Amino acid sequence: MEFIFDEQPIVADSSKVRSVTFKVYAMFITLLTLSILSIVVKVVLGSSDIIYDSSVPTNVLEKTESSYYIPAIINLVVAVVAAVFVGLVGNKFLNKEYKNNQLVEEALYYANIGMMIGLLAPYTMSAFQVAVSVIIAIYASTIVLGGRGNGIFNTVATAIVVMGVSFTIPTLVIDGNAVVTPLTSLGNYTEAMGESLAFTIPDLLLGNVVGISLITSTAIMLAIALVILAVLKVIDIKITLSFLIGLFATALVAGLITGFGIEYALGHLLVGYTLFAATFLLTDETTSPITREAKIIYGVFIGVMTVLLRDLASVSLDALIFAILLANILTPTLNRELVRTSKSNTIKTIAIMAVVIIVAGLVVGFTIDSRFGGAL
Amino acid sequence: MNNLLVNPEFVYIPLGKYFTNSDLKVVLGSTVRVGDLVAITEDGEKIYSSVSGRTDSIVKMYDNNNIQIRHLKIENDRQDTKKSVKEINLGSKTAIASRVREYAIDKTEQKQLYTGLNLSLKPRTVVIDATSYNSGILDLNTFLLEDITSDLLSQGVSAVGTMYGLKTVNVIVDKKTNNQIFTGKNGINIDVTNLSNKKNSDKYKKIEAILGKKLSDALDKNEVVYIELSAVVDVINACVLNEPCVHTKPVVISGNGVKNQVSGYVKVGTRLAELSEKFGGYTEKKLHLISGNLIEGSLLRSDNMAISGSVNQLFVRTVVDRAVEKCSQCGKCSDACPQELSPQSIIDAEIRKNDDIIRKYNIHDCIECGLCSTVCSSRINVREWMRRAKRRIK
Repeated sequence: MEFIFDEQPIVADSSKVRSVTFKVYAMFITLLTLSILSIVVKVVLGSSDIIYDSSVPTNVLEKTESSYYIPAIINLVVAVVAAVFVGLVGNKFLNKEYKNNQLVEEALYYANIGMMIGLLAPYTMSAFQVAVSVIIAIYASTIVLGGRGNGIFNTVATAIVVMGVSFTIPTLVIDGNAVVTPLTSLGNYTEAMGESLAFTIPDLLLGNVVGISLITSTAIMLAIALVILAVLKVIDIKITLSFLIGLFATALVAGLITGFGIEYALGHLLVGYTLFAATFLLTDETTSPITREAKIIYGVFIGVMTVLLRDLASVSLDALIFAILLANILTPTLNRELVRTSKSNTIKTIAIMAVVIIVAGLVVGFTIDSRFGGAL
Repeated sequence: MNNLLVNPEFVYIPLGKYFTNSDLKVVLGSTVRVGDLVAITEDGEKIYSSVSGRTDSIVKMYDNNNIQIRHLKIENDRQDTKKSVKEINLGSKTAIASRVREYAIDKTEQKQLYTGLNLSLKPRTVVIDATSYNSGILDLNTFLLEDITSDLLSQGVSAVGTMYGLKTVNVIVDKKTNNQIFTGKNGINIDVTNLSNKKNSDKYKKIEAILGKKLSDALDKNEVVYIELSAVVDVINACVLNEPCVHTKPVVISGNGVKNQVSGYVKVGTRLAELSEKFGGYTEKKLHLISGNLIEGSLLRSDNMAISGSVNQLFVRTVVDRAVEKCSQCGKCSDACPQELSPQSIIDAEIRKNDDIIRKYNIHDCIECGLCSTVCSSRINVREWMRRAKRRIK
């Protein structure tokens, strides 16, 4: 019989909490289901209402309406394999020891990252480009800094940025016509007068559109995943909610000023990576802040910056990714400066954030307004 | 309660508590009986023998607070010869008070808002909380069948009333208990109140209803004596049954490290190892032994520890053989912290031994409640890290 005395255990014995292991498994199952469902949606629904941009000249006829998503599925598989490979090899160099089922857990963690990148990678990326992005991102944002649980920048966002800045992303061409995705349509909407939105809200909800990537359609599916993960306490609802509210409110203020109305705000909520990022990217515990107010500030900051960048800057991919990386830079500062949290502080923070949202909405609204010479 | 009484070959009576010294009142090698005075501590606390036999020697052992103190080793002759105690008149106020003082029942440590049997108080009301016993929830009906008859209990309660010179004693019991088990003795009325639930606030409301006025935080300024049932049981042993002073102690042995969870009376000075037959041995090779509860108890070195009068509960748990996980920085500890600290940041600074940052994060506000450890999703013992940081920068 041996009684361990020298010090209290560093590993606690609480069994009633949502452990990190549970989170990894739950994330994996959710992502796998999402991947399968999004492919099923593509096969079943097809894309009857694709809107083509006739102004873009094309001379390629490689993709057809029924098979344009096949390369994306290959990319998804390649991304998962590459991510697990880099992750486990990286752990080998970090001399990480595995106990019990930790090897499986670690592999699943990197598989999750790979799956997220695969789901977000644009249709027109080649498998090689995706693999390179995955390897660079996981190595640079996680492995070099000490493996899982370390790092400043969100690995998935880093991978998407690597794709965006390293490779030219061609416009998706189906049957010889350039496709207008909802996101570009939303951008064009604020760029020039007379443009109409290339989507309707029910289409976005059901996934009856061709987005940038596999996951950027079927908002209902993503919303259900969000709710399930929030109820299971796998993701932190504080960041997600403050982000969604920040984004929607800013877009709504801008929409009211310009006269685009609520459809514009809903568009911002449903297009691009918004819901997927709200569920999987922002809630990444390593790169998001710790305290309550810091989480609110973080979420609102990303929401506001997303609207600002989407509407006022021309970014090739979804500007949300850049907003996330900008907020990641803030995280260490927020963690250091917001030491204590109390109820009154939280209320104060929420009030300040409301003001920030309104100001940002006004800025976006009036800038778009002036772009049209006050004609709106 | 299962009977945990065993007759060990030797008992080890701790001579004092924490760092107090004590004067030995017996000669080594002499014979003692159950209830004989063996030592008096610097604080005036009297220490009695729990078995009859020959005093063997003084040995140094670790006690339940993990402090090395002197223990008196007594060789048990297994005869249980008791020191004869004079019967007292249960109608006499002074006789009961002097017995209570002699047995130091009035000096028992009090938790929560209990006043204890404080002899310096002159109360208008005595309230006995009979909803729990020995820190556990009590079903009084079962308890009565096994340990103490309702007649004895009534005599004990009446004796408390007599001691304070009152006509009525109030008893709070839980809703399942039969009110008829209490019948007043020696001209004392016992007024039984049934509680609708076990919340403490409910008990205070009952006391306020009995008193007819609002209670202040300090119950001893309210002309109320508010005691636990264990104090009454002590009075029964001392005054009604005329048993020798503290020689047995009720303890609970629990946790996933022992095969059977047991509770019962143990002779003071019995080592935990002697009870292994009763709790069926240990379940694993590597264990943590904790005296007291998980939150405020102390970790012990071995089961070669004598159960003293201040041990209520022994908790044995298996050691979690899991690799240390990385903090995922979810911030749950910060959300849970009642003192509004940022434990994750403090751990981070502690790992890097950065004292300035630890001080900046107000580490000394930590009350070590352990909520951070409980909510941690990486199962890190956050409280232990906080403790280390706190101790290091003292």
